[in-house]
Amino acid sequence: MLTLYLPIVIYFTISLLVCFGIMGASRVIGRPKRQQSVAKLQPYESGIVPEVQLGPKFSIKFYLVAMLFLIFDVEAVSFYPWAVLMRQLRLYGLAEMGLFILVLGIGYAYVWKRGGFQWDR
Amino acid sequence: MNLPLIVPPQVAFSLISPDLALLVTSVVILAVALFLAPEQGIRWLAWLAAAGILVAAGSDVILLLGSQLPATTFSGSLVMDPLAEVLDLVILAAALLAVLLAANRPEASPDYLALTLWSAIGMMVLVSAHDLIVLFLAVEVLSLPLYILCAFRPDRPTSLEAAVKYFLLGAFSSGFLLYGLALLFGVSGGTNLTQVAAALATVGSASLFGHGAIGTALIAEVGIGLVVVGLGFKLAAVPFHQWVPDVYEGAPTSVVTFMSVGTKVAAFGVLARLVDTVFVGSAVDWQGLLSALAVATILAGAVLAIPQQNFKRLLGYSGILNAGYLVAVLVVGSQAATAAGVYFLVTYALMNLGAFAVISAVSGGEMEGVMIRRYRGLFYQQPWTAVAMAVFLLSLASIPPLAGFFGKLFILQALISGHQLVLALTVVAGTAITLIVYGRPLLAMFSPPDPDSPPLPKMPMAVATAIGCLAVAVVAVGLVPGAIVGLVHGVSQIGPLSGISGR
Repeated sequence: MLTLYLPIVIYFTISLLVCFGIMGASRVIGRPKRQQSVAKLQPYESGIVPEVQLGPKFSIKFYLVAMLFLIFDVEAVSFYPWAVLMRQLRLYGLAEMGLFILVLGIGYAYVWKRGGFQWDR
Repeated sequence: MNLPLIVPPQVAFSLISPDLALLVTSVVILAVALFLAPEQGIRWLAWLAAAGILVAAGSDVILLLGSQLPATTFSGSLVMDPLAEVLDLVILAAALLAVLLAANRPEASPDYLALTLWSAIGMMVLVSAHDLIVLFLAVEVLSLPLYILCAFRPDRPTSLEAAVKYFLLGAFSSGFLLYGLALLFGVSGGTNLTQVAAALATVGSASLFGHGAIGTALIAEVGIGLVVVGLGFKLAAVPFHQWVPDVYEGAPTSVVTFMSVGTKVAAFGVLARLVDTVFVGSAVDWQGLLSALAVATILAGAVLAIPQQNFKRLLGYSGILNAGYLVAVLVVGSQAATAAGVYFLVTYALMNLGAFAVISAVSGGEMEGVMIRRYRGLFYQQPWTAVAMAVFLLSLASIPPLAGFFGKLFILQALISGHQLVLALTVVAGTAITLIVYGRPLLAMFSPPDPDSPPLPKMPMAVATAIGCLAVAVVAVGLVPGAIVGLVHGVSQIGPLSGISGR
């Protein structure tokens, strides 16, 4: 049984070796830190020197919208299994889905009322 | 396309009526809040939540007194037995107090109430879980609202810190739990605990150099270990306790009140069920695992509690310590021991809820209010509050004749009759150390007050009533320990017993 996992063990060993090997090689072959130039310490932008300060502030609105989208998107996935089995589940499935949509709808209305979908607040 | 015939699960709605009551209440709260301005009517909503909790508790009591228990529902994935119902009552008490404490606080909002109720539902499902998937889902339903609740004072950096810490470590522990459950599923080929137990009973003890199906035994052992680690985070067992003091310090006191008792009850309930149904029949060395956890938790919790200056941190370490007692009593593995654990948990809930209610009332939501030095001279300013707090602290220190003493006594009895002498000695040592821990705030309360300390906030009527009831309960249970012993004997029958088919 355990022999089944032997490839995984080998894989892990090799990946660890590669990981530490590359890090060790760059330490041995590469120049010491004090000789590094300013350009090397900057974020890599495909060889082009960055002209603006990287890491500017961006609005947290995107984050909220993305999260709300994700929540309702994932909830919508729950419809698929029901849709596939709709005829088998009959009234039971319909009632369950109705309840699900009701709870989801109240959540949606609550987010709406609290201004979760308002862009400029 | 031929699809397998799906049979909808048989659902006995009367058995899950407490959970349904909370669910309906939470949805109604959110729906009503749609028509109210943000700051308006929060008190009415809090009363609505309290009413929902009381309805749930009422249906719990009806189930306990009725003849339906023990029974299973949802195709055997939920089991309703006296153990689950009694623990449900403790969870509901914690939720009720959280709602009462929050009613006059900045954290009060419809979201707060709904999240508290949802978390309580997760806890109640967890103590009834009889299926690996239901178990994991319940842990998540329990935890996710708590992560959010910890951040309910966004004006304080510590509240956000608590939420992030709790979330990261909680997510991490969920990973352990899920991995462990997956391994158990892999060994047994089923998710129902009955199937898992049957599979583990045939697995030999794990030994790399022995004969037989080494792989399966090893997987079972690792699976059980990972599940214990995952639940150990929730139970706040050492070495999975690092989040506890920071979260207790930073999160709003009403939230800490709820989660300190609720999470512990839920984690104990599910661990007791796992021990009773799965671990006891297996050849895996689960007793050694739990013993080590218990000894580490008791000693570390007791010693680390000594230097604390912050009352909430102190009670956090006290919670770790008491989690150690609960793990210790589970090592015995008999139903009588589980009953002793439940008795202890009931008494612990009474005194811990009381202590946190006093802290919440005295601090008035101020960060400075939770320092122990703030309690200097409490007796001269609010004598009854100080007396109630003294009752809670003395009971936590297991001074007879208060409730905590008998809780500890039954645990010691169970340990000694189970021949766990090392654990019994550790429990005694932990109790001895806690005399120092709880003695310091006691001394502070009865020493003369600082002349320049600000006046204490006025206590809301509902909170004062709750504190009074809890203090009376702690004394009454201590004076008449038999009052809930009968209840606990009923608990000692964990379902589903052999008479019930696991459908």
